[in-house]
Amino acid sequence: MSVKFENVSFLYLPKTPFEHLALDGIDLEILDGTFTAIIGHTGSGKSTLVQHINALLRPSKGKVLVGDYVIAANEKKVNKLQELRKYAGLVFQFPEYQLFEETVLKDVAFGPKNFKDSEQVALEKAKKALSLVGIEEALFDKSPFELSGGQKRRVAIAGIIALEPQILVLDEPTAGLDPQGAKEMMSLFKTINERGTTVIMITHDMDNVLKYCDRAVVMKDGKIVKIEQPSELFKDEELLKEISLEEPHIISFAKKLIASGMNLELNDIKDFDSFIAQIGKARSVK
Amino acid sequence: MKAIEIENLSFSYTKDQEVLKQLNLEIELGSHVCIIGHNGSGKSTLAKLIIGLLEAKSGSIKVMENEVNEKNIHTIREKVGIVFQNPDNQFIGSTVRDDIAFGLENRRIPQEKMDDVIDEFSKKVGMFDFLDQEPSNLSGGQKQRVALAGVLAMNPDILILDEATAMLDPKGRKEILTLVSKMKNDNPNLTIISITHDIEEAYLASRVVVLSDGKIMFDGIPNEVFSHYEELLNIDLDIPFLVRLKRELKNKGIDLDDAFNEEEAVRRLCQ
Repeated sequence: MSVKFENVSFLYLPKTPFEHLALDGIDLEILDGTFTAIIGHTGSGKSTLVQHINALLRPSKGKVLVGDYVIAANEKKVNKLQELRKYAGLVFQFPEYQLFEETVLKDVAFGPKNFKDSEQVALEKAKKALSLVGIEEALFDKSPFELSGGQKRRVAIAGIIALEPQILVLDEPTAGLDPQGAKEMMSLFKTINERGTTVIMITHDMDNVLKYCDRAVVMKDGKIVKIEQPSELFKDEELLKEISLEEPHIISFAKKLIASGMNLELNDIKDFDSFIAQIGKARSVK
Repeated sequence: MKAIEIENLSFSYTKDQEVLKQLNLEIELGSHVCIIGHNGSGKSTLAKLIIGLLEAKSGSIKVMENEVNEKNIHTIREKVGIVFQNPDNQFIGSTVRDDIAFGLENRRIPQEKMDDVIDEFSKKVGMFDFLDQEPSNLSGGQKQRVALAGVLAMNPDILILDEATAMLDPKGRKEILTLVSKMKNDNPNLTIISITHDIEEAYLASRVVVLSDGKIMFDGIPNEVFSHYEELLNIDLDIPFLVRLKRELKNKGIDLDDAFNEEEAVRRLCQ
């Protein structure tokens, strides 16, 4: 069980002046329980790629296997589409724009109810999801529109978590949040991942890629140019230049230290704490 | 004359929660001020009060000596231009040209003159080649550049950027920040107020005002403000890389206090 792309291409608006090959021969396997980053510039095909995972988009060529579900080109229907959408939950960019219900609790319960859960079960799932994302009970009966930006984002994400998906797909989940809000959001995804959910996340934040992800899939012009562990990725100067990727500040600083003779192991640097620990270690050895 | 004078300003959306509490703030003409604060600190509310989108509960705001109220609203909006966070919510025209023209039409600028202004400002923001493009063909950074052109074409005295880069990717963000620095160089009289939680952006300003819980917590040049890093961390704000590096290394007994840039820090660490 995993997510597998087999030679997938996607032609955007075929036979119009806007026709554009958004995905070009994608081969990719994402294993269960992993935390994968999809990175690359705006327009590189990241969102198009992840929207294939729950069949919002269908391949023009090739096929996508998600668990037991098959999304293939040239097939009119995806078998058990409804179940697939519950199995692989997708959180769009700025999901708070999609809140619509009268109360926070109703908004989150809408998903499970839509997937045929009884009112009571749906509400139970909604409460569980809200507590996981850190929304207190006092807010359950408020209108989602009365909440702060960060809270709205949490409620919207709870709406997907309430479906209890095996695969959680996130399109730039921390964009527009303040630093603290972003940090809390990322540790939430880490928790969800540690409970066994596969997390696939589009992001521009390389600090988060380094700290949280097992692997990074690098996209350019609709193709995958590299699949690599984040710490290895940031060593590849040529690739960084080619896709003009901005490495984390701790990595660029660590590289300067290494160039000036400090004995640092880049692979052991994941976040600010391990970065400081490494400097301390290198200095004491000396 | 001051660009902005704010006295005892209070505001609340609901009865039980004050967003701004008796705020006092003066902003000099021609200065570049950055207002930082976490989500919910009241910084965007302040921007909306300055341009009269919200009405103060008590206290007063003056924009170049004009009290912000219903009577003066047109004068205020002639003097202040604002670019908001979401590139998709402020694109009005069906093409880049129409979008920049919108504000000019409202001011009844004659057609011939309007064409010149559109050419001039679309060139300034690097969008001249896109004048006949639809918004859906543009990236977020390009849309924000068009928004900036539309605002600057109205020749405002004061430009407010309300988290104008928050929704952009790193490339888009850089484009906008470079452009803003260029605008300021071209027109030193322009007052810029940028509202952000991007610390690197704060360093472009000559003055940083930190809002927390509806009040001003710090106000000064960037280096002075960021020297209060413990307090800034306490209110969930980020601090600049070098400041954080020095702080954490100090906890490990490595003192880099007088290293004023990264190169110096590297040199000292590798001694």
